[in-house]
Amino acid sequence: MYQEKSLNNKWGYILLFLFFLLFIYGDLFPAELITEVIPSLLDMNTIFLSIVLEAIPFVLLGVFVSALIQSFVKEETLERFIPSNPILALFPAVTIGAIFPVCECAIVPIVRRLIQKGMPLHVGIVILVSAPVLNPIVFLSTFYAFQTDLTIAWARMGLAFIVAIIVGGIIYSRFKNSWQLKEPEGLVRKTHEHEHRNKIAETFYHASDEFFDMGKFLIIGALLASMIQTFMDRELLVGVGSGFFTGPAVMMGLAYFLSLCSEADAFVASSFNGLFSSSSILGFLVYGPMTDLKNTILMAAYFRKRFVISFVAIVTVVTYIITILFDLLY
Amino acid sequence: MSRNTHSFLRSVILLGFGLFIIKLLISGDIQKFIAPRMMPYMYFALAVIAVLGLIQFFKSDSEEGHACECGHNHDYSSSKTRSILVYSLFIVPIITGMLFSDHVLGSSQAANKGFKYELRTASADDDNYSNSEVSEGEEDGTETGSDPVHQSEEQDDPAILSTKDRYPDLYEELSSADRFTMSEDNYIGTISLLEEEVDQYIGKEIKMNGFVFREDGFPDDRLVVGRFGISCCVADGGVYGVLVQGDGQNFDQYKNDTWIEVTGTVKKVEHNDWELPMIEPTEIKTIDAPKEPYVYEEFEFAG
Repeated sequence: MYQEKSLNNKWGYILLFLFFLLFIYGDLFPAELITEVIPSLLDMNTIFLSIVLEAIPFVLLGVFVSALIQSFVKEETLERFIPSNPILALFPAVTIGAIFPVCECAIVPIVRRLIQKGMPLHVGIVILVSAPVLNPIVFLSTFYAFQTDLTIAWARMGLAFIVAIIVGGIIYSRFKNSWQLKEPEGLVRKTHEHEHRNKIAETFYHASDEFFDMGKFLIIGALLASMIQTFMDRELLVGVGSGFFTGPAVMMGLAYFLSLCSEADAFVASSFNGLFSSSSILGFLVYGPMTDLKNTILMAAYFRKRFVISFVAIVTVVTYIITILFDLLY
Repeated sequence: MSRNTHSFLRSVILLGFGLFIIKLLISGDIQKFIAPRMMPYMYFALAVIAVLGLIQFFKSDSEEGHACECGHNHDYSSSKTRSILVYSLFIVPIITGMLFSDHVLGSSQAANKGFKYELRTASADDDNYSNSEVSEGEEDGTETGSDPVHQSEEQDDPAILSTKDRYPDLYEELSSADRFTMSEDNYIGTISLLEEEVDQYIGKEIKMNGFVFREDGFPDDRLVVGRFGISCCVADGGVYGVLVQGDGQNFDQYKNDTWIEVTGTVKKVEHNDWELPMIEPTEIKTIDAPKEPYVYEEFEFAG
């Protein structure tokens, strides 16, 4: 055992050395070598890194809140705050989502932890879909991005509210309160006492482990999203996107694959204003924060695969129908 | 792999991320990924990564592994191949980041990222759409008189933000001056104002810089000069630019992605049924790409 350990540590030291080397001399590498082979590769690398860099602080934030919940919130406390009627419980969940300005990267570990602590599945999912879109920061950025058409900002919030409630309802009717997290149920529910350790250190250990558990999914998600952003032909999309039924579908597809942060997506959406109908734009704005490629992969880190697929399907269908209805009624 | 090895590798990776961020901060290249308003979050991330890295490091030193039965899978995989794969995921962005952090998006992405003019040409019924929107607006305005959106367009309701209201100082400056130089700080604002009501600014002299790019089928004497505008990170960037139309001059010497400074007169042009601002150049000169090639969306959050 000792031998294997020292061998592996050797690689750690080599890596450490490499990092320091790159830290000092990294800029000297001739980037032209790469651009000549595949011109867009560096574009992709830049977009990929920018998504990772932008998401890291929020993932860390989410991981810390989650670790704090793990260390300090008792299961009984949680139970007291959630109404026992499953339908009534949906509404405080939306309110929680609306109060806390948590973006979609941070919300996944938090919700997973809350479910571990005994929060009903559908209530957790409602928080998961509502927090990244129904919040004051997102409202303001939408407001600024669409100054000429304020209905967009209000409709975004309204539709997101309706979609979140319906998604919660469907999740409840399909999955009731079954266990959909990857780890076995019994293990988690028991509160364990770390008598010999202090809780702060515990929080940091949890946060660090969770950062690595989740970081790999974040990186895969960012990689896929940056590939699609770099190599996708936008004109093709616009060509099929003008129909009444295809418009929202195309915009939702775009929202899914671009995996933008919910704070920034309104500005991207506004560049499509005038090309797509308001309802298509709303489809983009409501759907994107609730689920996207990066988030699906993040969810797959914690939830069972079948559940993640059903979740994405439910959110997709509900958002689509609601946007079409909005277009018909408005 | 043993628990200690995992902890040690993780502390090295966290250190790598820390070094990467510090390198970006020192060289200023961080602005090529993230908008300045996101900077506090980056400092937060750097601090947390440093603390986590230290904790992982000392954990790898401590004798007994951290035995916690809290039910979450810590993913201390014992399979070597799997561990290498997982850790490579973290190591690759650190390496490519340190190697290629000064790369700047250019004209090839400008086409892909949805430059407005290009998008407008691609849609067949954009014209109908904009028309129907206008007539709808007029109806609302005259019949009910309560629709805040259209009141703002006609009466400048101060509660609603039109482009003018968003950039009041800039609007003042731009409409009173005969000559105007665009800078990083007013780039997005100026172009938004120009696009909103180009008639008001016709004949003014404007000086601006940016990189060159073209749509397919542009004649020799036409190009677009623009810069990427970023609101949070480069992934959400879009191009802000103005058409430059010479009178029979040949712009071939200005290749795509060259940075130029254009001085010229504002005019209006019909481009695929859209009225767009355009600059008729009196002087074009090639310049070096600026240290901060992107411009940033400025909007104040109340909180």
